[in-house]
Amino acid sequence: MVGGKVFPDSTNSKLSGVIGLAAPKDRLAAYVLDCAILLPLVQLLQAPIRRNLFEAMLFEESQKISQLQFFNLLIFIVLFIVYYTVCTWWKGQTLGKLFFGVKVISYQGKLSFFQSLQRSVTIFFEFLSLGYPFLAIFSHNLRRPIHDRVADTLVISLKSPIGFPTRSEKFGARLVGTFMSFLFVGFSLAYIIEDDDFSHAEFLSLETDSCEHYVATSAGDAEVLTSHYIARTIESECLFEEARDLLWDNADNQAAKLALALVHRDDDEKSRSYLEAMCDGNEGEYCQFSKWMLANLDQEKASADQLFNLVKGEVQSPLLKALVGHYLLKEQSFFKLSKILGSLNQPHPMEPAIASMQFQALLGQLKWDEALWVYRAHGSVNDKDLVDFLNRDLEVGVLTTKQHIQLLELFYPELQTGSYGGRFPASTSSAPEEIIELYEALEGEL
Amino acid sequence: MIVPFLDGFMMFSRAPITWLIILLNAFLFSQNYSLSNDCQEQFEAWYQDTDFLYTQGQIYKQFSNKPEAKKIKDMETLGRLAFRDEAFMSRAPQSTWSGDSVAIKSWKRDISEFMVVRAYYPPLLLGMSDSRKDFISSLSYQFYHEGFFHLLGNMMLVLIVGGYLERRYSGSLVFATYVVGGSLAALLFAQTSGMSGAPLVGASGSLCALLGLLFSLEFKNKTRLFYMFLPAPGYMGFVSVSTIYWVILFCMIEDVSGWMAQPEAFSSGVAHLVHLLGFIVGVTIGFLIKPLALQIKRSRQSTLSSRVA
Repeated sequence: MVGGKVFPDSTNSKLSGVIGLAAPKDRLAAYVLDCAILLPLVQLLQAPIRRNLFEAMLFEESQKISQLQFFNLLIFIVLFIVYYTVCTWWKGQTLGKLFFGVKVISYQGKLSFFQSLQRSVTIFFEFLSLGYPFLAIFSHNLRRPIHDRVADTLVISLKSPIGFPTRSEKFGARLVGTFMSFLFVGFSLAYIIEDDDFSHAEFLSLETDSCEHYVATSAGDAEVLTSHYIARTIESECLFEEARDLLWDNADNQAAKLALALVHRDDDEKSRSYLEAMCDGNEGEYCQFSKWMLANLDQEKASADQLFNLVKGEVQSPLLKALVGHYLLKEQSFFKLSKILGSLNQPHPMEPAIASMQFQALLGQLKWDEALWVYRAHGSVNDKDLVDFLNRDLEVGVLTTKQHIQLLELFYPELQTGSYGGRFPASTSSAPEEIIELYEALEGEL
Repeated sequence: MIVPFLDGFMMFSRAPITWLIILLNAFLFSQNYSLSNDCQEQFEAWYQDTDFLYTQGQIYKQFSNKPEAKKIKDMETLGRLAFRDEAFMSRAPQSTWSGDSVAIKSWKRDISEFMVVRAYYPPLLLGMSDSRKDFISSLSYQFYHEGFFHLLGNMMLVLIVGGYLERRYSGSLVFATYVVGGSLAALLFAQTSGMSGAPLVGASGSLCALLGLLFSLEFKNKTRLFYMFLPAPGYMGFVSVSTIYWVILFCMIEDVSGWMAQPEAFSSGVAHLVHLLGFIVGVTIGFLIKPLALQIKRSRQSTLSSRVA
């Protein structure tokens, strides 16, 4: 009872007498108790599904996982709605409401089953809206959130009734509601904006897609995958995971062992172990190559000449030839590199690696026009190869600064300008930032 | 939050046997805590080593006859599950496997080191597992816990339930139920489900036996629960509820659903079946000795009343 007042009701005159509204804390506590009672029952009903879900997750059966998660959720929703509907219709009270002396009454007299069902379903959707509609308990004059208005019900207290919401309650509800609205809009905008940017997550997914693409096209061939790695079209992590799987499928896969030796080159012990394993029961070309690499690791200064002679006579594997080419490139033996590349009979699976090395071999032999043709003809040859060549040459000092500038101007004619004396506007140049910076540095040296 | 409170936390003088059980648990825990911690820190290095787990998964795939093991695609997950297979842990390092010979060699070296540390791991020495499932281990496992919060949680409930029973009936009954219930539960579990390489430790089976005893002796009576729905006066306090309801709803249903949710081939970290078996043993003990127990209760109550008078 609240001062003996009859609460005004503009919708239905059947409600009469003196009643008191239920306090929000009582209603909340009743929900908490109902959840505590429902939870063990939900878990019991969900148990068989959780068992299958655990197995489906272990076996990575994604379709089954989605289905089971849906059923899991369905059980929870159905039990929730059934419990609230039946209890509210039968007694006007759930167990939680009974404990806290709270009751649901209807403006239409007796509470019907349909009203209870309406109420329960609406409560469920209110929870889905993160509880935002429940704020009406503090702002509506009769403390009726949407579910009470939809079902034409009122929640009263039998033990400790309270009155209408006070001004501070209404103000608080509006403040919280406004804050939640801003939060929601803010998060939505942030999500939309982030989605437009080339975010790091997208970049990673592109890298993953690249790995998946080359793994699919290589069709389980470790030689092809390793060549993609040498050509820098896949990362070491990608090669490592695939080579590892291939080696477990076939313990004699020499190319896989070589790939693992390459990806572990920062771990001397592991790299050495894989190289030594290439000679287990096998004295073929891979074993010969591994011996050369082991000598290199032991810093016995096994030369590229020795490697060249090894390859010229004995090695047939295109991958090994490509690898030898890679080492010859590092030692700047461009002539021998060209000879090796010429001896490759089937370049196509390893085209990226071959084209890249061919390009740099031509640059090293000052066959720049041919190099330019290779650069334009092969999409896999890119600015990174040019920059690598220039950086390597800058260390060794074979070409002059003027030759470096001429080389850059050959590839990027827009860099060449009679009155060039300052920073070239990036927006009018197709050259990447790194090339422009290198060009400016070289110009400064002249 | 709703937890059983009964007569609350009793002092030593009112429930000495229950306190002795707790002190024994605490003593064993304190004596082995440091060694257990050291072992776990070392284990953690292997549990985080993805290469090691991957290799172990590949080897386990070759070793295991379980069809489920063949279906798991993620080798690291399979590698983690392999730790629970006692037969694998003891036989695999000595066997020959096909695949990445470098990784296999490295794994064998690591697993030998792992087994050395494992040999000193207290839960394996004091608990029950596939390699230790005798009568002695069925007794010792009940008095050892793996972590502080595991110990704290179990002992609080032992004090509440055990203290209540000791006060009304007898300490010998509490101790007997604790030991016999926990022991039988573990032995039955070993027979029905089979043990794994992961050790079974903790007082949960014994605690459930005490709950079963409480259930059978007091199921018509009301006992006190502590509740807290909101941290405010009027929304937290004590309530008396029939024992049958809260034991079933808040204790046993969770274990039944946990047990049903466990796949056969791979168990989770909680032995729900041990809890259920402990409960059943406790209920059985309660019903068997009910007349005697009620006699003891009446005589205790009359002794107390005459003291008060």
